[in-house]
Amino acid sequence: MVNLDKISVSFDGVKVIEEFSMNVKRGQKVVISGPSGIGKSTILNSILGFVEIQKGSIEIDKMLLSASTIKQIRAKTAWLPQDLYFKLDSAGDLLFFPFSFAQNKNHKPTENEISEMLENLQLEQNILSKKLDEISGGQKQRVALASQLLLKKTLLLLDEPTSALDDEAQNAVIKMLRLKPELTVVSVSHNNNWNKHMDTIIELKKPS
Amino acid sequence: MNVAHDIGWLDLSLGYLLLIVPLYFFYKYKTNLTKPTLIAVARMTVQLLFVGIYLDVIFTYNNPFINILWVVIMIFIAAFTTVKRSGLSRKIFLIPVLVSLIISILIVDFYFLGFILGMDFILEARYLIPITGMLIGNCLSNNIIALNSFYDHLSKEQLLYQYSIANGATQSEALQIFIRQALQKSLNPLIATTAVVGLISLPGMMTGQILGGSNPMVAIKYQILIMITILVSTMITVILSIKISNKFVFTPFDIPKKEIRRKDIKRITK
Repeated sequence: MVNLDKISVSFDGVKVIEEFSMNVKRGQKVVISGPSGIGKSTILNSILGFVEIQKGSIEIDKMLLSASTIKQIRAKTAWLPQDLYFKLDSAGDLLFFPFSFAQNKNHKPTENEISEMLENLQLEQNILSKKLDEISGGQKQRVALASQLLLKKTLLLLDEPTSALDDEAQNAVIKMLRLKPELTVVSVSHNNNWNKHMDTIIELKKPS
Repeated sequence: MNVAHDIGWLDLSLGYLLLIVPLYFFYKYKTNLTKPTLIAVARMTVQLLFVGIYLDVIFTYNNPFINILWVVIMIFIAAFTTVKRSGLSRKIFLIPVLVSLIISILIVDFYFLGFILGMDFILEARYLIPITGMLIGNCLSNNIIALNSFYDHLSKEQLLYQYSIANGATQSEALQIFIRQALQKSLNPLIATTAVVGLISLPGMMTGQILGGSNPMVAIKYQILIMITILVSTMITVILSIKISNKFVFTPFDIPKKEIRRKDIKRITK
């Protein structure tokens, strides 16, 4: 499903990723782990075409990542960034935001689906009416994740999904992902609890 | 027709005496605005005197080619100024802003002068030059605000843009929020001015026409049309400037290029 072959990424001449390879099968849940600043998020960003790779190749669902395929590739992805500092008004706005795009309009979730998702992620049913600045970082993260899961995409890219979650909330998220055997997950985290529940841990180390 | 009472050169120079008031307070409160004020007034005087001489020549000849050339020069200067003042890359933005201004002015001028006023000769200097000048002036200032707002927000809220395209938005959908903000920021003041015109301010064009001897009702009708055409031409210029420049500011992966802003500009952020 996701195949990175010896990719290298540099910013202003400084090498951030060097000849990194990874092969993730459909339905697999993978975490890329390692110390801060080592380039974990850069790998997710390169899968999404946000950063340019200087060497190697990226293949998503048998499509070689290029300017001509990037739209088709992004159509398969859902991405949860580490920070969610968006100027949106309410938690409901955050959840429904991706469904305002033409591609997702047909997948607009029913009330039951939303209610079930909120329950599974241990969120109160009335959270969607709350202002974004009234809810905690962990709640915001789970509302965004609920949105990503309701999109029903095939590839979920999670950047530090547990950064604002306590153990209990983390376990709820992990349990939720486990309920979706078809969903491929590539996450970035240095949280041990999260990492031990993933199928594969890819450890990034500083080049010696 | 009554014409405006001419001001003698000596009388005009008496007008400059009024500047003693602001200059005194600038000096007293050590504002460092004395020198800039003197320079600004000197520049204004020289520029307007030159314009007076040019317009005198243009109105005397009333040659369509000279009139068009004058409009083209105004549009070029406006495009240069827009790009310069907004701190954007000249290489990327000059052509899009220029094309937007040309299209906008062409449409609105033709509609106003040819269709509404029904003029046989729409290149008549007495109409074409001042009306186009007013339209361009407003397009320029509002376009600077719009382009600044659009590219500032796109840069500061790049995460929201990326979040959108990574979760199913087309580029056009992802940019909608930034266009909305740019339109609000640039057109809100214009709408506010339109709403209070005549109540707390008498617009320059109308005042000028009345001083020039026009019937006040005629002056008001022109003012109404000019307010509407300013709104329309500004909207066309802003939308086209953003849309056309968007074709050049993104990488093939739909990510904004780094060189959108000019490197030599130190931007002041509030």
